Amino acid sequence: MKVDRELVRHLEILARLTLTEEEEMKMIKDMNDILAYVEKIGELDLHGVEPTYTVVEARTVLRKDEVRKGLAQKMALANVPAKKGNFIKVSSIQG
Amino acid sequence: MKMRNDYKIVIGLEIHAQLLTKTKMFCGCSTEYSFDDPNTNVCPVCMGMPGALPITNEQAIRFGVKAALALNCRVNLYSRFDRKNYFYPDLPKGYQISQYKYPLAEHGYLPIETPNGEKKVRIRRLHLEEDAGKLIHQSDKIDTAEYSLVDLNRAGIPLAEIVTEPDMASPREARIFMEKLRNILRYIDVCNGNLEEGSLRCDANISLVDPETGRSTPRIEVKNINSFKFVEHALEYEANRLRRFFEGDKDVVRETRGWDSKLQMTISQRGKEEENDYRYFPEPDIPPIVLREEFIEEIKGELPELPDAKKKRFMQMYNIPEYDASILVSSKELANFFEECCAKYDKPKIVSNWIMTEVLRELKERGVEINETKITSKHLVELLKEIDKGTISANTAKSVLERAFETGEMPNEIVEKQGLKQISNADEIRKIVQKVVEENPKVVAQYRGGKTKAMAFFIGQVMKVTRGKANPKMVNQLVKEALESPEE
Repeated sequence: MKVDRELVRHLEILARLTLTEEEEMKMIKDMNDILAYVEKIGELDLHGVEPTYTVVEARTVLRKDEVRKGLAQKMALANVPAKKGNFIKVSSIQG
Repeated sequence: MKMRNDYKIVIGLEIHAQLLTKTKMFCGCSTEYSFDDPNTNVCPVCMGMPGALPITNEQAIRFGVKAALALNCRVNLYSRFDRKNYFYPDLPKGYQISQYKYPLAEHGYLPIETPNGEKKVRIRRLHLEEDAGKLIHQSDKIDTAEYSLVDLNRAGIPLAEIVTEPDMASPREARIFMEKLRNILRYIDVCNGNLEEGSLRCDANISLVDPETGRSTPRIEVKNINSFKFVEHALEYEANRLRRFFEGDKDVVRETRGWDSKLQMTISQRGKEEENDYRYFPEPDIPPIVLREEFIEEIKGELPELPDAKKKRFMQMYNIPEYDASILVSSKELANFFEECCAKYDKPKIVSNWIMTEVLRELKERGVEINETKITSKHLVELLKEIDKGTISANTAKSVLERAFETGEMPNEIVEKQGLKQISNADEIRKIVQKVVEENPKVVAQYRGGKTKAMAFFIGQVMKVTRGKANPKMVNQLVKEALESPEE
């Protein structure tokens, strides 16, 4: 897989980010480097090896349906960049 | 060009049902929330804080399996969660934990009664996921800057997503399917099924096919359908719009459209298409869900009698028509109410008649289920017994029932308090009849001159004088006697 400008622009839309041309170039380089690094694993012969989906022991872990106290409202909103009343305020999403 | 009407309509539905668990899908936060107090049932898990780890709610799995079994699905002994990645302010983690490749259940079906007979709507899959937060769009009038408010109390509430095959051939069928699905989810107590409040949501895919050429319109996804009526309206609107495709309308393209109930039309939500790139990958924080056969069998054993089975039983056990039975089982509460009444009053068809007319009208007017009213089976049974005894007429009984719905008083109390007891004393009625006859010599003459319909006038007058309390049968008889007795 090759990361090119078209792909980065597509990812910008998905991530709702707008990069400058300079940032895009840097992104293309960085992402290609990362992929090249990871692709090394492709050198291994993995025929007949099941994919590892989880490193956790394959045992079903379930929780009882019992209410546990979460965060107090004040705490929950403590690090929120913008508030209105007790709501989190965000800029409107267009489209 | 004339519009053709023979295009085949193809509809598939995608339904989201909020499960009635006490806590969220992956954390112990309460699922109860009110809009007045946002961000109160939240924790690091459902707020998407770094390092927080999700743990699956066992009850959500049970409810999912229960729903799957009720919809005749095959429950997968191995299922798994995946991350569905997209950015939206109501999704704090930047991904939704859902099931993509290995859903909880597949290959089900639900039979529905259509105007053209019974048909099976196949269920492609049922999987579990988490709900997003609630987003409220606002625009500030002062600086016209638009912004949105986020409440994360809903974020993480368990959802069952149910996807059908495109098996519905009309908007009507889609509605029938939705109503039946809702009824089943309510029967098995996994979802309260409220479309208006969003605890049950429905998105629809629709396209049209020209049967002659096999040519198909682009597929449209219709969102934002929040009532059963709108399921039908939105899809009818969309089917009509799609017909224009065959006349060369270039505006009909593959897209997502939202139903606007005020404008009664669907509106393009362009720009959302590109987002349909969710880059799913396995959720590494949650081990696979491996179920044992015994677990599934156990849940199968917990399934209550479902609407179709109940309908058949009602027809056999109470000897009522299919039509009655299907209405009575259309709500679990109503079906229970019917059976409670029948246990104390052994004329099921009469109980059914009263439920289907008077009781249902009251429920519809109030927009509630029978268990949310002040009426119990004791009320209806007492009322019916009083009619049988002749204490009140059927007509009076209707107003007594209305009153009982309002106050919760027992029918006897109401009859007593309002002096509604039926007059069944022949002498008393005869006196009134005499008076009415004497006061209206002209009409008497008409009657005797052959205009027998004039009798209704006298009956009406007697009822008026007695405020509807006179025993109708006796009035009938006594009026006839008085009119036909030889002139003095």
